[in-house]
Formats: sequence, structure tokens, C-alpha cells
Amino acid sequence: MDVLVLLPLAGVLLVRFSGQNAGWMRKVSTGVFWAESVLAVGEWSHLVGQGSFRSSGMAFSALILAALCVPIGLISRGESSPDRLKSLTVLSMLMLFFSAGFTVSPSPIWSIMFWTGGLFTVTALVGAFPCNGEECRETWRLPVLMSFILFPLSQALSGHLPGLPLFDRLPQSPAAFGFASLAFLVFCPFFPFQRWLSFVPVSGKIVPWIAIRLALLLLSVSGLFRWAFPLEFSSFSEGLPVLLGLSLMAQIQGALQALNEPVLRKRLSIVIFSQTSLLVPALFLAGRTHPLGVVILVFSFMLPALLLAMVSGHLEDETRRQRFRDWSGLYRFMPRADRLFLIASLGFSAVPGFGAFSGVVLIGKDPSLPSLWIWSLLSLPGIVLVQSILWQSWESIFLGPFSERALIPRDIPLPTAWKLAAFLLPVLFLGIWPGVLGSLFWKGSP
Amino acid sequence: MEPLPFSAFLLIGVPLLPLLGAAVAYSLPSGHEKLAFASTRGTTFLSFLGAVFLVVFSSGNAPVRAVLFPDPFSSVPGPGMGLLWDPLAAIMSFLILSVSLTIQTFSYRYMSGEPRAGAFLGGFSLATGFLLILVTARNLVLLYAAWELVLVALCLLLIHHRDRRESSRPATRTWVMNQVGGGIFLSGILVLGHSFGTFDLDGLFLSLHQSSDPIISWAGYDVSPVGLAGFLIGLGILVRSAQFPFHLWLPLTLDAPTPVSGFMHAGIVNAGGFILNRLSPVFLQSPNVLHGLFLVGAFTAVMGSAVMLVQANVKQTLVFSTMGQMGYMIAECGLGVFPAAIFHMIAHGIFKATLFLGSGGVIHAARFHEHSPKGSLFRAFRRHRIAWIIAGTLLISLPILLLLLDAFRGKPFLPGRGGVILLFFGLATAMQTVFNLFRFSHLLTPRSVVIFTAVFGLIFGLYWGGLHWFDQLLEPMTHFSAMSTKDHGWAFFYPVTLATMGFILVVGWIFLARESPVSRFLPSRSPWTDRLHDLLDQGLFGESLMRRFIVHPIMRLSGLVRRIHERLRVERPPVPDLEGDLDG
Repeated sequence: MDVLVLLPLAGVLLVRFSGQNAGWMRKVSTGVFWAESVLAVGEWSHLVGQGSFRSSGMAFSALILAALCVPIGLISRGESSPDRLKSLTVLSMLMLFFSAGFTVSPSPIWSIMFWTGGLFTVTALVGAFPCNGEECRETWRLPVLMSFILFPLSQALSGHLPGLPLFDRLPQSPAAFGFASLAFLVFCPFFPFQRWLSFVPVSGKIVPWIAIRLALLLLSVSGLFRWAFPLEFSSFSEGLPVLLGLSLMAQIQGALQALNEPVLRKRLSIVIFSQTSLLVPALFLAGRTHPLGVVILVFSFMLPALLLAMVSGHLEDETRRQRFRDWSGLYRFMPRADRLFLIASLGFSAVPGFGAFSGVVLIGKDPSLPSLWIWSLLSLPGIVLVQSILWQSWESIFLGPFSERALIPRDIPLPTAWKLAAFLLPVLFLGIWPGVLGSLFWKGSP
Repeated sequence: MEPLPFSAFLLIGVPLLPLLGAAVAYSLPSGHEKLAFASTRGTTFLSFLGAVFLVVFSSGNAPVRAVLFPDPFSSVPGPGMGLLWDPLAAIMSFLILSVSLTIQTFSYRYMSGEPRAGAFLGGFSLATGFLLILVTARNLVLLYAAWELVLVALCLLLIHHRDRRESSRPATRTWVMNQVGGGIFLSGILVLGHSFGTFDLDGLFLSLHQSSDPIISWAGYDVSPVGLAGFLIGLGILVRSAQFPFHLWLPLTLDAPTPVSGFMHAGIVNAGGFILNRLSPVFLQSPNVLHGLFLVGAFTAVMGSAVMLVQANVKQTLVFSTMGQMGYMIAECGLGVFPAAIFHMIAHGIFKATLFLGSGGVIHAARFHEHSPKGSLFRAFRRHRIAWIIAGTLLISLPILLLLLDAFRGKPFLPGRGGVILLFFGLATAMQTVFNLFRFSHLLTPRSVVIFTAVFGLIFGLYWGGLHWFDQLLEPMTHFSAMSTKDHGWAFFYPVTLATMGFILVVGWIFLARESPVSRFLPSRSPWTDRLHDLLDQGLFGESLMRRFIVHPIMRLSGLVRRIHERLRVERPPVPDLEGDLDG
């Protein structure tokens, strides 16, 4: 078995049977996530030998797997109770195991099994967080069930699995493509599925919620790339305007909804999934011709989004407040949080110099795809709205006179602030030298 | 790999040095303001020296080029992303660096003792560095990046007084409106890049003459990529240059420290004019866009000059003056007289920076002149009637005399197409000068009238001679086929500009009459002048209209979307806030 898949499983076993030492659990999980991401990159760069699970030369999957380590690694972060820490660490490493298997396995049967395992692990993770139980579970039932059914069905229709006589009369290719796409689009910001994607409960921590959804988004991007696109049928391009329209609807709807949202964590979640809806059309339009642009977008949205979530989590913990009206003038007490929030907002809202901007321009440059520049133009109102909302949020929280309604907070400790700032380095690097990734990973291939 | 030539090394250093100064200023802890001042001023001065050396070392007018990194965005192979030092870049760099150095020197005293002086200097140097990248960029993506990063630096400067919502809210407005403009600007750049396969300016200008398929065909009307790109870029520029109806962010930014206002009006708002000049080959291919720019510019010039007349606040007066001047500049570009616009930009930049830096002194002086500027007309007439009549008549009649001379001679008296524009600009400036002399009656001594007249004559002379020099210096830019005086734009220009002048004259006098308590020379108040005064005082009710037709509908739609979203979900009892909520 490939080391990429076995490593998280080893981590699961190690944590599960090693007692309640919180420090040990953290060290093991940190080690596993770091090693996995380094190996994922190394796998493509031929630093590690070829294994049976080696993907068919797809740098895209390797990079997605490396990216996945970041949000999944943050799921158990900040948990203080040893029991809950143990269960969350085990579940997150289990999720990494299934994600790695799904991302790199070449066989559809294995992929379906890993995907199903991943869906169940996510369901277990959601249940492990404090939430107004029923509501949280409701947001997950339908998408999990849809994806669980549609992905195997698409593979059966395409002939990768034993045929199903029940569906013989369906037009095979369009149905297979449609089912495979839907199986993954339910976890993407795509109208009307973005409703459950942006849901965040007001209780509990914010970071795990954002992290789980981002991980699912990355897995879905990988799933679309590997299992839906090969099934593409000849007249698919006629449906592209509909796809663009639905994606833009998700983007604009999210941005408009966020404009009126009084709770920070909800606004952030909505904004994050409004902006990441750019990924879906980018993937469908340019996934094969410009995978570099899509990968840059993935990294450039994910890292600032997680940073925003972490700073907001710190803000909530320190002030015991969640609404904008209760915060004002916090720059006095939290200069580091202030700067991190601002820079992450700029990075996430595709300001030039950050990776998201380079990704959008890279994707829009292909002259062979006339829809691309139309997509670029149409997506700009949503991007501008997101930029405005994030700036307004920062202004509202950190500037102005100090509000007496909040507790006087402590700033993010300096070592933690440096670690968080490190999240922005790849994004800045990709913003200034976006071609570096291409020359490293696509040498002589797509 | 070839070694970097010394001139290219210098060129990279010109914008990078202020950015380095900014990094030092930001990283210094509070209490080290002197060091921060030294680092930012030192790096800006070194950058200035670098620019001087570049002019000395670059042979003749040959442009210097420097590559920063490969260009991954262009689909046609070309040079990497980098910088270009040509006459236009050189002129703009010197303007930016000299204004920046002057304002930094001014700030040394102005900002001493301020708690966030280091952050102020950091932001200031950032803005300087990004502006320098903007004016030297040879690639559209790099140019757009600098355009946006200048905005980031500007907004950081505008929120210098962080505990005041009066500072932070206008900065948010500035950010939002300029991001809308930035988005439109980027759309234009993407259209160009997509259609011609390159973002490199040289490559782009070379391929502009190649016929390109229409990008939009609708109802028998074809839109070329250049036309669409010119329209979108022009629209983006109108926002940054505070042109009607996108001007609503500029009057709100007065709470910023005076040096910030000075730099913003002298260097940042001007950037739109620079882009119009840099991309002049694109705009000259789209005459309809130029006509549109002329119309908007002319209207903004009238509006800015008229609204300026009724302002009681010195800084507010300067803001609307900037708007009007930018309007003139955009109108000049709309007529295809790009070198004149550059000259105008430089003159305006230097004057406006000086005026802003001096505005504090005027405000201070006004505190000791209880009745200034009220009642100025009456006192002015009484005290120095003869002096002001002669000077005022001279000032206003000089441009008209030159125009008449031009007509009698039967051949152009002034160089190039910019000559006529120069005359109109001179006329407008003369009228405004006379008008303002009256408003500030304590300035109206015979000596000051002579000084003002002499200064005006000097400026006019410099314009006259300078324009010719500029036409030669920016020669490649003037070789494109711009509009001729037979064009519709020109036919339109004369009546519009004359109407502008007449409007300013009439409105100015009306409001002077209103200010005068016992005037025997001019008509007293009437209902329609009151209404006109209100209309201008409210800036044509632009703010109210924007709130009613843009902000409120968007917020209502946003509320509706949120309600639909919330209602579709299963209703649950409200979840309490976090544990330990102080509200209980």
C-alpha cells in the first residue's frame, strides 16, 4: 500500500491506543499532517518511490492532497478536553486517510469506498461538535445522502462498475456526467447547494466548521477533476452558460446575504463560500487547460479563509461576543489580530499581490475559451462585494472608539501570530511568482 | 543569464527604495519616529537621485527596460513583467518624488508627537513606491496591481486617526467605490489581454492596428475589443479621478491629516490622467470613448468649479477644485491632447500640494479674521476699487485677447492643439483667481494683487512655452492620429467651454452678491439663487441620490436574500450567545 494512505492510518492507531496524553496526541497529529503534505508534494516530484496507489501522473491530485492537510489538521486545534481531543484527532486523521485514498487511488471502486468512508467520517465529526444538534445534522443529511448515491451511480452508468438494468434507458454519457458532477457539486458553492455549505452554528468553535467545509470543497474539486470530467459528453459545452449562471448566482447571493449578516462567524462563512464559488466555473472551464490557475486559486482561497476563521475565533474567545455591534476600536488591544485580519481579508478578496488575483488572471487568459473572459467579467461584481464586506467588517471591529460592550481582550500571542502569518507566505509567493508552481509541477505535462 | 545593466538596476531601485523605507518605518516600534522619518525620507531621496542618474545615463530618449519576473499571464511569448523608463515615466516619477519629498519634509513638524507617526510614514512611503511602480510599469497586469496597491496604501493613510469613525467610514467608502472602479478597470485589461494575447504594453500597442474580430455583435452593431477595453478602462479611471457621478468618495476624505490630503490630490487622484496618457494608443483607437470622456470631464469641470464657489470650508473648497481640475484634464484627454493633460497634471499637482499644505495656515489665520471671508466684496470695493478692477480685467482679458489675436492672424498663435485648451484653462483659472481674491478680502491689498497677477502671468507663460516642449518630449504620443479641429468633439468643445466660463462667472458673482450685506452694485437675494445655492451646496444632491437609488436598494435586496435564506431553514429557538455573555 502506498505510504500516503498508510501514514494517516498509522497515526489513527497510534493515537487511539496511546492513552490520554494531550501533548503526545498533538505531536503525533502534527507530525502526520506535515509528513503527509511533504510526501504528497514529493510523490509528484519523484522523491518517493512509486507505489501501487500512485495516481496516473496528476500533479493536480498531489497538490490538492497537500492542501487538504491544512484544514483537516486544524479540526482538532484548540480543543482542551483530553477525551474530545482524542476523538477529534482520531476522526481528523481518519478523514485524512480516506481523503488520501480518494485523491490518489486510480480505481473507481476504491475511490467510491474511500469517498463513502470520508462522508461517514465527516458525519461523525459534525456530530462531535457542540451544536444545536438537530439543526447541524439536518444541514448534512441531504448532501451526504445525495453524494453517497450519485457517485457510485455515475460510475455504474459509465461502465466502470457492473451495469444497472434499471437505468438502461437513460442517455448514458450525459446521465453519468451529470450524476458524477452533482455528487461533488453538492459540496461546492453552487446554486442552490451553497445553503448548507455556508451554515455555521453560533455555538462552539468556528475554525473546525470552516475547516471541514473547506476540506470537503477540496475533495469535491479533486472528485470533479478525476471522476466527472473524463465522462464529459460532446454537447456539454452548450450547458456551460447554465453552469456559469448558477455559479454566479451562488456568488452574488452569498455576497448579498453577507452584507446584512450581523454575526461575524456567519458573515465570514457566507463570504468564504461566496468567493470560493469562483472555483467551480474555473474548474469546469479551465481545469484541464490551466490546472495551475485552479491550484493557485485553491491555495489562495483556503489559506486566508482559514486565517480569517482563526483570528475570528480568537476574537470571539477573548471578547465573548459574536456580533459586530458589540465590537469597536479593538486595534488598541489587538494590533496583531488587527493586522492579520486585514491582510487575510486583502488576500482572500483577490487584491493584486496575492495568489487569488494571479489565479483569476491566469485562468482568464486562454484565448481558445471565449467563455473565460465573460466569466472573469461577470464574477467581478461578486468579488467587489466580497472585498467591500471584508473591509467593512475589519473597519467595524478594529477601528473607531473602543466599545464598552466587549471584555478587554488579549492579543494573539506573538509566536502564534508568526505561525498564522506563515499561512500568508505561500499566498504572497503565488501572487508574485505564480509561474513557479507551474514550472515545478507541470514540467513536460499538461 | 545576462548581467543586469546598471540603468536597469537603477530603474528597479527607483520604486523599490521607498518600499524599503516603508518596511523599515512599519517595523520600528513606537518611540522611534525620528528613525522612521530618516528612513523614509532617506530612501525617497535616494530614489530621487536614482531617477536623476537614470536621466543622465540613459542615452538620449532611448527607453530603459528592466525585467522583474517572467510573465505567466500573456499567452503570446514576450518579455517578462517589468519596468520601463521613458519620458512619460521620467516626468511622472519626478513629480511623484518631489511632491513626496516635500510633503515628508512638511510632515516632520506636522506629525511630530503623533502616536502613529511611524505607521503614517510607512503608508506614505508605500503609496510613493506603488505610484512609482504604476508610472514605470510596462505590463498591464503590473500596472493594474500598482493601481490597486496605491488604493490600499491610500486607505491606510486615510484611517490614520483610527479611533475616529469620521476617518474610517470615509475610508470604507473610498475603498468600496474605488474597488468598483478597479473591477471595471480590470475587466478592460482582461479584454485586451484576451483579445491580443499579451499584457506587455509594447506588444499590445504593436498589435492594436491588426484587425480584430468584434467582441460583441448585437443588433447590427459591432463592438471591437479595443473599443470595449477603452470604455471599461475609461470608466475605471473616472472613478479614481473623482469624475461625475463617481466623485462621491472624494469630498468625504477631509478628516485625513493634511499631508495625506495633499499627496492624495497632488499624486493619487492624478493617476487616472496618467493611465489615459500611457494607454493613449488604445484610446485613440476608440474615438467614441474619447468623446464620452470629454463630456464627463467637461461636466465635472463645470460642476466642481461651481460647487467650489459655495463651500465655506477651505479644504472642502480645495477638494472641489481638484474635482474641477481633474475634469479639465480628462476633457483634454478626451480631445486627444495628451501632452497638455500631462502638463496640466504636473502644474495642478504642485499647486494643489502647496495649497493643501498651506490650508492649515489659512484656517489658523481665519480664526483671527472674524469676518473673513464674509462681506468681502463690499469691503474690497471700498478699499481698493481701482486696483482690483485693473488687475481683474487684465487677468480675465489676457486669454481672450490671445484668442482674438489667434483669430485675426489666421494661423495658430499657440503650439499644437493644446493651445486653445490652454487658453480656456487660463481663462477659467483667471476667473477663479479673481473670485477667490475677493472672497479673502484680507489678502486683497495692491501688493498682493500685483503678486497674484505676476504669478498668473508666469504660470501662463510656462504653460505656453512648456506645452511646446512637452509636445516634443512626448513625441511618440503625439504621432498618433488624434482628433482634428474639424471633428465633432472640437465643434462641441468651444460652446461647452464658453458655457463653463460663463456659468462660473455668473454663479460666482451671484454668490458674491449674496455674501455682501449692503451691496449697491449687484442684485440681492432671490428665491432662485437660494435654490441654486442649495443645489450646489449639496453637490447636486449626489449623496442623497446614491443612497436612494443604489445603497438602499442593495441593502433591501440583501435583507430579502437573507430572510429567504433564513426562512427556508427549519425554525429553531434562538441559540444563546457564548458562555459568559455579559448581557446575561
